[in-house]
Amino acid sequence: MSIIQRSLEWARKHSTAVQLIVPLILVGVLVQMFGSSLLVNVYTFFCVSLMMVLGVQVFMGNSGILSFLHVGFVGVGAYASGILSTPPAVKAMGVPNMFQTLVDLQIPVLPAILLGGIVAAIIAAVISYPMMRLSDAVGVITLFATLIVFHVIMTQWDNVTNGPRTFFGVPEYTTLTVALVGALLMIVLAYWFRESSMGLRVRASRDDRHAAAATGINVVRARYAAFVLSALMAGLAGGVWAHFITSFSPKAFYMSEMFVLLSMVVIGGAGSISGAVIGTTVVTIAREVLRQVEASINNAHVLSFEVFGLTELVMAILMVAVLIWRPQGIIGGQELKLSRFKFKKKEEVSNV
Amino acid sequence: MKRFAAVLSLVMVVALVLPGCSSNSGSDAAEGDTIIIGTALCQTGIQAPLDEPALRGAQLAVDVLNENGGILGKQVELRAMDGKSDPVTVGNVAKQLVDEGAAAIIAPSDFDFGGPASREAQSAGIVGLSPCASSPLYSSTALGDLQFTLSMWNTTMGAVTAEYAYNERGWDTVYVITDDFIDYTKSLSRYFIARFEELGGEVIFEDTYTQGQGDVSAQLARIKALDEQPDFIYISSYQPDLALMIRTLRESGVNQPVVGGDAYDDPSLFEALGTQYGNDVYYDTHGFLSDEANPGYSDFAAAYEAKFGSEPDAVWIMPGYDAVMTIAQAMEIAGTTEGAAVAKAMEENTFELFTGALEWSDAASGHEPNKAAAMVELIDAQPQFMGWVIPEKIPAP
Repeated sequence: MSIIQRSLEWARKHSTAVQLIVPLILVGVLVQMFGSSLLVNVYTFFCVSLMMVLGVQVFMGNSGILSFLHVGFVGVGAYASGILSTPPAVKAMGVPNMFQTLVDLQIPVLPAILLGGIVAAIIAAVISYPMMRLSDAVGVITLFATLIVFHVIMTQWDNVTNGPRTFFGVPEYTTLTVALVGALLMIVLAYWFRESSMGLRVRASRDDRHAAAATGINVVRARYAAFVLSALMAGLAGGVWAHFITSFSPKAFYMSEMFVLLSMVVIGGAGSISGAVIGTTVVTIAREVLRQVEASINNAHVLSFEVFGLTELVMAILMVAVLIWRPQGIIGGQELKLSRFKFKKKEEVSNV
Repeated sequence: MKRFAAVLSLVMVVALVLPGCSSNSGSDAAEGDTIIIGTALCQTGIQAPLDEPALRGAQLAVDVLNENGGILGKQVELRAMDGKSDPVTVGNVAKQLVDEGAAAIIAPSDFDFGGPASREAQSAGIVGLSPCASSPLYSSTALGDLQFTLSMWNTTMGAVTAEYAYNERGWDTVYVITDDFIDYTKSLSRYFIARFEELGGEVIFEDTYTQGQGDVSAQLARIKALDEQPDFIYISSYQPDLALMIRTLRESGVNQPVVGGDAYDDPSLFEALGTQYGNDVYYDTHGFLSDEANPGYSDFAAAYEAKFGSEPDAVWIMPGYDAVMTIAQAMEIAGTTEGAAVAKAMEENTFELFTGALEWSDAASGHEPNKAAAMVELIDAQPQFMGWVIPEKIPAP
């Protein structure tokens, strides 16, 4: 009994993580059992997106600094994991100029994904310390400029990334289970960091940088820790993504993908993990449903014209609507908590 | 909060049920008397300028097929879903089309965007065909033994102009400017140079340019400083900067012929060059909108105008039309819509298309398309068809 009680107690205390994890697993099991192959694919990609979004959220949500760079770390993770795990024969054919040492490398997929994340984290650790010293607006612009640097390196470094050409032949590995486990891991990581003392310090610096510094928090170091962790998470997400899509080129890690990622973060609410999860959910569902509606309208030929682009239009309207009415995102920086529900209920009762 | 949670869960349920429903209702159609051809062509986003005309071509082809009795006595239905210039969406679209009973998939015209559709088609055991992906990666080696591209590869595109310049015109020396921004331009130059040097031509210098740079003075200075001027200049780039490059060279007195690939086949280039600079420019492309290049073009144009209310405006319509017609012919020859048989028919036959005669090599050698390219010359900013060319030798990819 005591174990059950203790785990219940734990669940109540960490109700945010539990409330996010349980539905994800439930839906995952349902989709795996009853879903069509399309639905399995959609849910797998949802989990992969969630990994990326949480990676962004750990830095952006806690520090309050808008980060354009994370899609670049996704790319680093994807390339590192792809290069490490692709069979030498495929690399020799597909990447004619690759360094011979890289061609000869081959390790199993799972360690490759982990190493991909570590490579991204190391790069972040090397380059980001000075950036964390910058004030907010300047920092954002610097991060954006760094994304451009990443992109140029990826498109020009023929010997490693195959330049602007497609890097293909990455072994397929990411199933729904893999992606789901990855997403759960990210939630736990993000939650752990948020609740850790370092996370608290970063959040304090977000709310008032000077007050935080005055209480003895080393703002730069706190932000730096958040940044490196979030780069690690983005890199891991990139590896999982690479083994899902199996071929990609540098354009997959640039502006348009960055905006999709940021739209998920912003719509849900960058300030919290729940916001990131809900943002990803809403954007994924809206995109898929709209796509189905669009295709049904077009293939039924009920209109005299075709409505391609409906999805993008409605998504844009949704984004603008969120920005007008809930500029903090749908759930506005708060976490889902059991106590919050209870509190609301009591209030209702007392009103009656 | 509670109301929000309720709304959210409702949306989730709808989202879960909706794709399930559509896939169920669709699979019945496959057993009926229609043959479904699915297109995952991108109607929005960066890939749309290539794919959108291709879809119109495909729609026209299906109309023509149905008027003439369909395929194997069955009516043909074209089911189009937008790939949205996103590889994941393209893959999902293809998966869904397969679930709905598609007998073949028409994939977007690019390896990055088309690849996911072809991979889904391959794993479902049906033929996937891209109307216009010219990367040599678009092959059975990378995608599987049921996958094809209707376009000549960049290898052919580079070789045709190299042979034209060296054999037909006797030009021995070339100055190459390569736009290093995307794969297409980089690999095109590589194949052009490989074939040109093999023939015995001399590449004086391989220069680079990056799309968006907006300034060719460095390249111009290097050309001017050469001891021996090249016979012609090969520029592998694309609009909008291509026009700027040619104009700058011409304005500065570099009057050698300019040669390039199918990215030149762009009305905005002709406009930007105008009658003053739009001369002595040669390129090879996939087809040409005239009776001279394609007997039967006027019928095609008339049918197109009747359906869409305007004249054919882009050469990319033709590959879309051809893709459907190739699949239809292959199915007729195979006598079935079953993937392996159709792929075999595609490997073993020659197809007479609007975009030139086409033969594929077998799956072991990658389904390499052996295809004629249309050589075109710009005279007073008007493209003039010079003829179909099949290169004697194609460089290895």
